[in-house]
Amino acid sequence: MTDTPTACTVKAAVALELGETVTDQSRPGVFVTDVTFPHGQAVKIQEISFKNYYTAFLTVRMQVRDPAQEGSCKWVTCLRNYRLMPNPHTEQGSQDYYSIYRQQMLVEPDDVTLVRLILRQPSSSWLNFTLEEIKLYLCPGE
Amino acid sequence: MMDEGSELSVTIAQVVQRLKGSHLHSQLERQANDCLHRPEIKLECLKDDVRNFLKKSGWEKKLQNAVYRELQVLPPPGHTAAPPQHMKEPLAYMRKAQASWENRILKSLNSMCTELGIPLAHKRSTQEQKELINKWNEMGTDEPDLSHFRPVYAPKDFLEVLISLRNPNHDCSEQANSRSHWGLIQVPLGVRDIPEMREAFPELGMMTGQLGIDDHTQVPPDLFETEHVRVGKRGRVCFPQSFMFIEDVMHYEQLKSAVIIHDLLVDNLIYKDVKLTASNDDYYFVFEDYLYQVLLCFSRDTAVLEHFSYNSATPPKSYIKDKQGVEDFTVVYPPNGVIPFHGFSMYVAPLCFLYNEPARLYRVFREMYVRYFFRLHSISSSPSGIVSLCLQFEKLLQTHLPQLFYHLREIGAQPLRIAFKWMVRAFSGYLSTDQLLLLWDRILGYDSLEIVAALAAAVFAFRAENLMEVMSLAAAEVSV
Repeated sequence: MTDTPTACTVKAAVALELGETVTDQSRPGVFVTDVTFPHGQAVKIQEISFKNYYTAFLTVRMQVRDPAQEGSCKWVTCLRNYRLMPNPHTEQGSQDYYSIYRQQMLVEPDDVTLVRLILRQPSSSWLNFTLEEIKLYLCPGE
Repeated sequence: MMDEGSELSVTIAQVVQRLKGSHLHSQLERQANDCLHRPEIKLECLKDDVRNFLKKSGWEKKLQNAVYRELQVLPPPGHTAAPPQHMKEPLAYMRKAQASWENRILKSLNSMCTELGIPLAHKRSTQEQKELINKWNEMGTDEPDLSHFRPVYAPKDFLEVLISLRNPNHDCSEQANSRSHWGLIQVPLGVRDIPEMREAFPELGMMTGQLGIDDHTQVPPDLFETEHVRVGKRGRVCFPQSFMFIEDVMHYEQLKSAVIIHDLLVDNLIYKDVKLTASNDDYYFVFEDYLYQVLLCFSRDTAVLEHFSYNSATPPKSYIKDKQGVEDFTVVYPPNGVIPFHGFSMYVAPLCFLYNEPARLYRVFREMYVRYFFRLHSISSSPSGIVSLCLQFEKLLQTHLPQLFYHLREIGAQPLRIAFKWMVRAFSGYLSTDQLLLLWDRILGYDSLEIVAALAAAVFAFRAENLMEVMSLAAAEVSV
C-alpha cells in the first residue's frame, strides 16, 4: 500500500431529489460525489479512505475502461449499501474514519477513470451529511 | 475483511511492549532460570519443559491476569488516519464541550488560588514533613481551617452542562414525532433497550438466582464456587491475591513520600470533600484516615496520566509562577490530571471494607478509576459514559413507565435531576455497602456501567406508586 494518496479531484456533492423544486421541509437523503483523476488517466485502486460525517450508507460505483471494446467505458458497482452507521438515527459511526480496500470490492478496481460515491442517509434527524477527507490510494508499482 | 490478522499482531506487540521490563517479567525470567535445576527439565525439550513448569506452578495464571489487565486498558485499534483526539472521543462537538467544561473548572481552581493567595503547590519545611510522617495514620484528627475552600464543582453543575449538550448537526425542530424524547438529555446517542440488555446480561435475568441476594442459608460450597465462576467468567469478579506485586507497594511508598515533601492546593479540596461526604456517612466515617492516605497519593500519581489516551478529558495544565503563557513552563496540575469534585472520595470509601493495607486499597481504587469511574465525570459518547447512562435511564423510564415520567415532568420533577447524583457516584453512599459491592462486582464482570442506569430506572419502577402521588420535586426526592 502506498503511503501517499494519489492526486484526484473530488467534485461537489449533488443532491438527488424527486421533482423539480427544493422545498424547505424536505432535505435530500441522497448525495452523489464524483472523483476524477488528472489527465484522464486510468488507475488501479488499492484503497479508498475517508472520514464520515453522518452518512449512513455508501455505494461505490466506478467507470472502468471496457476491455472488450477499445475506447469505451462501462459502469460497475464495487460496493453496495455499505453500512457506515449501525443505526442511522444515532451517533455511532457518524464521525469515524473508514477504509475500503480493493479486496472488499465486488469488482476489481482496475483501469478506473471515475469513482462515483453515492451517499445515503435515510434518517431525518440530521441536517447535513457528507464524507470528508476522501483519499484514494493506488496499487504500488504502477 | 482485511487486516484482522495484522490487527491482532499489533495488539500482541503492544501488550508485549507494556509487559516488558515489568516486575512480572523479571520474576518470570528468574523462575525460568531457577527451574533449570529441576530433574523434570530435560535439555532436549527445554522450551516445552520450562513452559510446563511455569504453567503448573501458577505463573501462567499470573501472566494471563497481567495480559487481561493490559487488554482492558488498551484502546481499540483505530484507523491510521485518525488523530489521537479522535481516539479519545470521536464526536467533535463532545470534544468541544469537554474542553470548555475543563476550562471552566480550571478557571474556578485558579481563581480560588488567587483569592486565597495560596500557591498551587509548595514544598513543606522539614518540620512540617516530620509532623506529617508522625500523623500519617491519623490525618483525620487534624482540623484545618477549610472554610475558605469550596469544591471546584458539584454533580449538579455538571448535570447542567450535560443538559445543554447539543449536536449542531441534529435536527431539534419542535415537531412532535414518535422519537420525541421527554428527558433532559438531547443528544442522539445509541443506548441499549431492555431486549438488548437481556441479551447482553443474561446472567442477570429474573429466573437466575443472584449471588449475594438470593443466597439460601445453606449454600453448598461447590455451588457457591460454580456460581461465582459463572459470573466471574465474564471477567474479574473479585480482585485476586496475586494482584499485588512488590512494585505496587514500592510505587505507593514513593507516592507517600511525594505527599510528605509537597503540599498541593488540591489536598485541601480532598480534605474538604472527605469531611463533607465520607466522614458524615454512617458506613464510612471510620475509614477517614484511609481515604486521605489513598486520595492524597492519588493526586500525585503520574501513572494515572496514561488513561487520558482513552479518556475524552485532557489533564489540566498550569503555568509555573511568573511564566504565564510560556509553553515550556506548563505543568500538569494536579500531577495525576484529575481535579477532585464534591463527592469524589465516595469512589474510594466502599473499597475500604475490602482491603486494609493502604497499598492494596490504593492499587485497586486506581484501577477502578482508570477503567470505570473516570467515565462518570467526563463528557463522551462512550456507552458507559455518563451522557449515555443518563440517556439510557431516561429512555428506559419513558418506554416502560410513561405515565410516571409524564407525571413527574408535569410537576417539574424531571427524573434525571433525582437520579443523576446516584449514577455519578455509581450509587456509592446511596446503597448499603454490601449491596453496592455486589453492584460494582457486576460492573467489573460485564465491563460496563450500563447496569448503573438500569438500576436507577429500577429504583423508579420500585417506587412508582409513591411517586405518582407526589406533587413537587422535593417530595419526589424524598419518596425514592
